[in-house]
Amino acid sequence: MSRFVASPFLNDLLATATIPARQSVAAEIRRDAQNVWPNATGDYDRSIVTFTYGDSGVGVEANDPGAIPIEYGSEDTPVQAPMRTAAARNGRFEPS
Amino acid sequence: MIVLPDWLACLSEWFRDQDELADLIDDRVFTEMPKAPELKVFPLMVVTQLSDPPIANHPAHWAVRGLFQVDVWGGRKAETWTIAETARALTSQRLTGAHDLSAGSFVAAGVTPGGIRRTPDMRATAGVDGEAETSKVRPRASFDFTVVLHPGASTGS
Repeated sequence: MSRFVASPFLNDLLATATIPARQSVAAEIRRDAQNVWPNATGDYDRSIVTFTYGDSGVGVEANDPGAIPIEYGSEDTPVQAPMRTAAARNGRFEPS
Repeated sequence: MIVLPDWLACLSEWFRDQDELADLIDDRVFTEMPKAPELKVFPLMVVTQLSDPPIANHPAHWAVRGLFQVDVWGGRKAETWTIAETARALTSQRLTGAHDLSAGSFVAAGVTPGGIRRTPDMRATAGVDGEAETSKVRPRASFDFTVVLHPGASTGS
């Protein structure tokens, strides 16, 4: 009989090992989000950054004050959704 | 040749055809916020297509994973939630399958709805001051969903 027993630290190892790959995906999402729509001033595009959180979390966010209505629209402005569109282009994006 | 249907037109028509939703908002399901006062009657629902990337790198021009946003505007807060939840329940429980509509024929599968966001018009949260602006703020309930779509049997030439 042969048997494989996973390291008790496997989850931590995997989470850490995939950080560079997920940072690459985050960078692609950032780049794509900056290019989904023409941006008059460039403020929104420049506000998009990648970030890390916790021990192994990786994300992308837009810090522009208009980021929420740009993403989700408003009564007077259409939905543009650059972040979700970019996320969908770079993997299987599912709403939360 | 296969030309994919206008997914957004198909889904907005599909929502309008649902009796439970018609009981709440009649046929006020739009693909953009209407400008004409006679159409802009609240509460109303707006469906937006965010993307429809092909399912895989495959030569067949066939299936996509559509990403859509549904917004319910106006009415009382509880009313917007009920409408949004009804639309989400319909999406989750009745969208899967084949549909032959005037906007197109399509088959839906793998429906994955997200949570309902309850927010006023974002101008309020963006810190816009002034009674004229804030008085225009309306309750809003929104959700996203993904769905695998491909053309129905009557598509193609």
